[in-house]
Amino acid sequence: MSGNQSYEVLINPHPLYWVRDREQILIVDEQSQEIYALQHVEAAVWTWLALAYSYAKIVELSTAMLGVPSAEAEQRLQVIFQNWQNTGILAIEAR
Amino acid sequence: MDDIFLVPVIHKYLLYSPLHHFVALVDRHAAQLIRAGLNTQDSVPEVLKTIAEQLHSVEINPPTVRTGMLDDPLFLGMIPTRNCNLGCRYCDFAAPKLDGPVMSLDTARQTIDAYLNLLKAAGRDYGEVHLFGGEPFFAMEVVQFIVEYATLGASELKLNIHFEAITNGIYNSKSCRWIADYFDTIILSLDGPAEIQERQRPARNGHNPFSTIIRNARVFSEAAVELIIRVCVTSQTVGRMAEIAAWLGEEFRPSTVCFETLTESQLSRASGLMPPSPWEFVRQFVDATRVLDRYGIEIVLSTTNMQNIQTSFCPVGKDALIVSPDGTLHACYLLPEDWSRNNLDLRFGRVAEGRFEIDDQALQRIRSLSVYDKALCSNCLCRYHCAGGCHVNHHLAGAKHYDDLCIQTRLITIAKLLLQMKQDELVDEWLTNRPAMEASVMQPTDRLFRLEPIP
Repeated sequence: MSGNQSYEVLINPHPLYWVRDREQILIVDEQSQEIYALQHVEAAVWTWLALAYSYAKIVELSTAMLGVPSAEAEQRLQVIFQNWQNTGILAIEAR
Repeated sequence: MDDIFLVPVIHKYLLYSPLHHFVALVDRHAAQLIRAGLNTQDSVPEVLKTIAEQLHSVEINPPTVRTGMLDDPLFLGMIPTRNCNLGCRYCDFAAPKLDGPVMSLDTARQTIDAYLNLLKAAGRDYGEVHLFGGEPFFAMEVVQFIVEYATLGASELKLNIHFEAITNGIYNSKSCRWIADYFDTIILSLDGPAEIQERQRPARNGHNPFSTIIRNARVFSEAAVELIIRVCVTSQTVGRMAEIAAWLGEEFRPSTVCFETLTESQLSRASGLMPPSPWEFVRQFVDATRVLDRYGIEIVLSTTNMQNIQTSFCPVGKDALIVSPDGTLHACYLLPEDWSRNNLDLRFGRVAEGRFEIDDQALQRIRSLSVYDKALCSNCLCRYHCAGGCHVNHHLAGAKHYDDLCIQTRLITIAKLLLQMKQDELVDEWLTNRPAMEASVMQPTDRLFRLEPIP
């Protein structure tokens, strides 16, 4: 996910729909009928992923948003991505 | 009572008091009786009593110049970049177009921190972030960061933030949908159908962006975002305003269409583009008003918005915090070079360490730029909404006569007040009678309590 490794980040292969309001992004997994609410930094990261920003750019934006060194921002991103993989809303596929 | 105005319209008189939100149409004899009655407290005839009572009622206070600490900013303006992908033939932003500075994420972050903290400290629960350029979305990543970061901060502080941007409409579909989802108001510059837009607003890279702009305007039309379309009117397009209005009404769903006349510049002159005649513009404006009315779309000329009772037409003097790409704090979104040419300095601080460092002396100097310092405006019925117009581009210092911008604003103000009273026939008659229009707008004073007798 970091350093010189290159990964392709994929949104969950089965259909997901999401809506956004002032406070959060609500993701609906049509297949499992689950609903996920993303708030704060998670909502921003989801938006940047959906806009097809590169991993490096998301790290840069997250670093600025969190006001922390980029290594720390990257760690936080890893946790977020891991959570999303665990809940099945994101699949990360290594090239 | 001082600020009651009387304007001849053919054989009638328009009686207008902005501070009472009052307008009436009377004949000469009635105007004389009202003036005498209000002046001497004599009773006026029964038929005019309602008018006299209205004008005797408590008026709202004349607008005042701001004083004290800056704790109620009009909005936070951010200029992510001065760069732009269009090469508009009349553009008065003489900045570098493609390689100018872009606001860093750090400056954006500190600016938003400063603004949200200021709102919170002042006990406010609402703020506005307006994005200007160049073309703000030419720095899309910065804009997307600004919106996400401000949304996050506002949510933590329980603040509601309104996002607004003025844009040329050139971006891909994905970005456009993001803008439509995340912004509350989009002001799209679109001068008309293809041949007008392509002539006046060509792309810098030789491509034709018209279809992209149209596609994106449709996305905005279908989304929850409020769409305002801004049309720049030139001497070549003024005759087509009704047609442009009909086209916009058919194709899109704007809440408002803002027709603004070209601001003459070196570039516009070199391109052979000139502002329209104010006499022609008002006729076309009225036609366009009627066309847009059929679609339920409001029409605006910014200097004639009578909802605003103000001492300054624009953000200048209203404590707007406009942050340039380098973090300098300005009162105006035009270029510093433009102010300097007009002996103005509209800088009043900078963003540093997550707060606004404000030069109080500069702030007070900027606040003092008001209609009260514009002698030509003192007897004009538009003084409390036009307020003399743009401080940078409308030169009034030492002026003794109304210029074309004044004439345009005065004509449209009169037309709007008459239309508000459903005086369509009178408006149409007036618009075809140039001497009558001149008599309306060229009188030396509009004040009811003038020294001279009512003409």
